[in-house]
Amino acid sequence: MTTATNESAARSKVTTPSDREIRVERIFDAPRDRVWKAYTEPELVRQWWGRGNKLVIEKMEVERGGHWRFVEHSDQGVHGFEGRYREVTPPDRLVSTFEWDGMPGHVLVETTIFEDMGDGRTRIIATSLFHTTEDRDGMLQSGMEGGMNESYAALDRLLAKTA
Amino acid sequence: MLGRRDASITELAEKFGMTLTGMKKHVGVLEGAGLVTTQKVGRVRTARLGPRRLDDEAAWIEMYREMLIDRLNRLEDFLERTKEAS
Repeated sequence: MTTATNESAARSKVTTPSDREIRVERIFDAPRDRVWKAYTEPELVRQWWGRGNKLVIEKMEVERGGHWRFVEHSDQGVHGFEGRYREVTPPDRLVSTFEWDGMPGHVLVETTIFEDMGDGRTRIIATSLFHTTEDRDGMLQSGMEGGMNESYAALDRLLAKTA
Repeated sequence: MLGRRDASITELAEKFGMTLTGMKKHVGVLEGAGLVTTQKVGRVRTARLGPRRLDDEAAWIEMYREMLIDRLNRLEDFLERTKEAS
C-alpha cells in the first residue's frame, strides 16, 4: 500500500502557478484512448468520479456547449456538481466549467490535456482556473484594475524611496 | 490594512498614495463585491471589512485541490482494475 502511494506520488506533480490556478501533471499506466473514454463515457465516469458514494449522472452532453451534472449521494447528504463543456477535442483536449452547488457562483475552468507517451502510458495535465463571482461579473476588470495599478505604482514609489 | 482597524477613505488614499477619487472608486468596487462596507458619519466615509471574506475563497480552493487529487487517485485505481477488461 505504502509502495503504491509512493509510486503515485512520484508520478504526479502538483503546482500552483498562481493563487487562482492549480496544475496537476500525472502519468497513468494506460493508453490514451482508455483514459479519454474514462473521462467522456458516462458509464465509465460513474465508476470512479464519485468519492466512493453513489454517483448519479443526471446530464452529460460531451460536446461544445453541452451540460453536465453529477450528483453524489452519501450518508452526509447530496452534493451536486455541474458545468458546461467548452471544448471537446478527442483524444487530447477537454475543457469544461465546474461549479459545486455548495459554492454557487464560484465557477472554475478545468482544462485536461491527454498526452500519449508512446509507451502505452498517458500523461494528464489538468489545470483548474478559479473565477470568482467578481471575475464573472467583470467587476475586477472595471475599476478594480485601475485601483490596483495605482496601488502598485504607489508601492513602487515607496520602495524606490526606501531603497 | 482594514484587517487591523476601520479607516476613512481619506486615510486609505493617503496610505496608498492614491487620489481621493481613485480610492473612492477602488473602495466602491470592493464594496460591490461584499469585501468591505462603508458608513458615512458627517462628512467622513469610513470603510471596514465586509461580510464576505477572502478566506472563504481560499478555503474553497484548498478543498477543491484535495478533491481534484482524490479524483485522480480514483481514476488511477479505476484504470488499474479495468485493465484486463478492456
